[in-house]
Amino acid sequence: MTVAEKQDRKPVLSDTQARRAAPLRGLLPLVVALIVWQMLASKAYPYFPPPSDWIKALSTLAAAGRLQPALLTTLSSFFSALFVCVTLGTALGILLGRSRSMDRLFGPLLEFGRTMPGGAVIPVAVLLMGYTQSMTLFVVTLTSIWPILLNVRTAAMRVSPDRLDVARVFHLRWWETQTKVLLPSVFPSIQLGTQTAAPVILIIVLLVEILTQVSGIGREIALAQSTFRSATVYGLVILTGVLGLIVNWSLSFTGYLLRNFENPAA
Amino acid sequence: MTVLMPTQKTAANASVSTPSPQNPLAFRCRNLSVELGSGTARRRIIEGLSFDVPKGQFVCILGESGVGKTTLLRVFGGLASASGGSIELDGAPVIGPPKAAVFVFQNYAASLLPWRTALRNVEIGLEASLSKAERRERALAALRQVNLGERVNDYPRQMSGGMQQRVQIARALAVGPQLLLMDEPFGALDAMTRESLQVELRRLQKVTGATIIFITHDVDESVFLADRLVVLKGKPASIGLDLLSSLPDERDQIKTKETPAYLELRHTLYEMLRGKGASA
Amino acid sequence: MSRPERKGGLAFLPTSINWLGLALVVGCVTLWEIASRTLGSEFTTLASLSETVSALIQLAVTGPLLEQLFHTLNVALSGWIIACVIGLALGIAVGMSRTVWTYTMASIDVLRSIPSISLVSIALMLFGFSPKMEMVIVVYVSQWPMLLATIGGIRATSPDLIDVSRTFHLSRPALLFKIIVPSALPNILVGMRLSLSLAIALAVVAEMVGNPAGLGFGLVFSQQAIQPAQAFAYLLVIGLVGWSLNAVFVAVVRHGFDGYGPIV
Repeated sequence: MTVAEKQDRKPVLSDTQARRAAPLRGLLPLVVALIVWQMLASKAYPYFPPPSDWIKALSTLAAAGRLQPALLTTLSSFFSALFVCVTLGTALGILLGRSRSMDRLFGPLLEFGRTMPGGAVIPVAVLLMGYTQSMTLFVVTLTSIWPILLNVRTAAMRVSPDRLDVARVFHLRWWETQTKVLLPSVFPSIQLGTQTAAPVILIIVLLVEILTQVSGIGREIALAQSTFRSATVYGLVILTGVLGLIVNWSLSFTGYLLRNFENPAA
Repeated sequence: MTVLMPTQKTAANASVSTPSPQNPLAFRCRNLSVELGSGTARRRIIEGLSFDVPKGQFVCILGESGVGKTTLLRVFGGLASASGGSIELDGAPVIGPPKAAVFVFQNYAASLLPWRTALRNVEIGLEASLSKAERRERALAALRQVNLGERVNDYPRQMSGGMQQRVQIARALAVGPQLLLMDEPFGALDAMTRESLQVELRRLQKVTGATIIFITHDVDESVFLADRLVVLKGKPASIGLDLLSSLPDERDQIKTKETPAYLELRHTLYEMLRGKGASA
Repeated sequence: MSRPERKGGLAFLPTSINWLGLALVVGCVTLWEIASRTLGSEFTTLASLSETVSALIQLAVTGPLLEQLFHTLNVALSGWIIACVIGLALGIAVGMSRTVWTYTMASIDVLRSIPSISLVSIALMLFGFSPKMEMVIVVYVSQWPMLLATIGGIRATSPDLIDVSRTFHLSRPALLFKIIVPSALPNILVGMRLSLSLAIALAVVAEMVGNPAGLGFGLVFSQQAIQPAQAFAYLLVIGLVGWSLNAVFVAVVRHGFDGYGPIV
């Protein structure tokens, strides 16, 4: 009698495997859903226009010259906020991670700021600063900086004392220590924090645009929604979804690169 | 191919190598081959291995790191599948983990449930079949057997490595298995703990009559523990040596290790491992 | 976050008071009061602390603040619980079966990348300005962290523990409930905490944009009516809600799950 060839029916994978991207076959449910939607949609359901209409609505918007400026505004807000969050978050994270007194000093404020529901700051910021780009930047930074700040702070607290000793032994100046030893050590945490923060930045940017209705994709969505142009709404939502996907994937990819750089054998 | 090398043995041990009505076969495998890896990286780890273990025997499989001992043991325990050949436990073919066998893992910390006390950890194998009271009884008895009666309500993190491994052994014994498969269980422990656990394990085996297949890369450990010694060698691996121990049943960590019989066995095994002995 | 070690059973009390942090808070508050009084003429939309507090009291006693607070808490908490249950159930279904995971995970990744705020617009279109819209948004958006954390936690189960379940012939339900879920619990608890934060945030946002009820609505209303003291008051209340619910959750988890080691 031979031993039956039995595949290991383990429901789990090793940690490295678990982090690998999901296979593309997983898109099947979405594709099927879209096809079914396309087939079943009709005038009877005005709020469920078929996917083909979404694309038409987007191209109409583009033809009217409204899509590109909106996209540009949203993207520029996103990237400027991303830059500010990463640099400020890293700097503050290192400061709080390395200095216990600073950490205790700002502790309560950190706790309060970190748990503040994101959108609530917007109306007050509008009252104080009006409908300006700086208001948007301020609000987005205030709400989205936390993952980066906290991750970097934790990493900065845990930098191996041995590494810092190396810096002392080689008589590195303060600035050199920061840039050559500390910063590279916390780099993975910057990446991890940014991976969490970036989607939040996108959301808050869009939220500000929806609430203030001055410019950007958010404004277009709000406009379309208030005039019940459902196909346009869906089309724009998909567009934001694509932006979100690009953001998520590029950051996952940098994480993957970083891990392979640190452990080439893995 | 199995090579049986007769050596000096006491009358008591002589009957152990062949099956008889008093010592029916617990475990047998025939022409076993095991492959690992997928696609182009697929390699044959074990080739044409045949192996019989009578009931109540303590077998040590010895081999250098990487030869395939763990893989072989996992195949024996139904945790991995073979690519050819057959395995039988108590007459029934082994497909998936057999009911009558229990595997004891090297990494005790990873195989004990950290959120359960020692007692509850030992109970895990009994929960499907016994009532709460009966479970408790059996688990307590098993823990007492490994001298952990005082620590039943402690969590694994509150225990030393040696204690945790004893909990794992108690967990295995609690289900009353016919066959115990042990994968270098003392490998991660310090020398003193290892030696006291070796003594304890021999005692437990004599008391419970369990059949044990124990793998290790430590020659001294295998000589001390085993009734029968098997060396796994080669690429792909096969049995290079299979002999009965000439040591008496009563063994001591100091006196036994000074006897000529012990030293001779040790010498033979080292030569085999280093590549100078006879091989199949 | 670094916290002083809590000894004994007094897990709820800090072993030392953060005097430094407290001093900063008091300092900031004082600065706020001074700044708004001196700059008050230039910044008409900056309310001082005293104005904010009196607005707060007025809103609470004679105004709609308490009903609004109750509404937001109600939606956020019930939505959170529903989201946790859904996320956990779906997470188990996807995490436990390799086939299900292979054929759904990419879709999950795509769906969760859609910014939640865009979905608010769709919900608004479908459900109008109603409590239903708020609930749907809260549940839909908050279940993602829970779903992902559950899937992640299940799939990260140590293979050694799986081997243990096999050698002791645990049934599949036993494997799930006795080994996999306890092992994934730290992940699941983090997912629940993220879910809670999202539930509160989305409830407020939905109220700002859609359902004219609750704290979010109060906030937007006072902003549009150019009542800075009231707007600040609402912001303060919302901030306190976020902070206190989070603190309660963390305290409950720390106290209830001593055996696992550091979790949340």
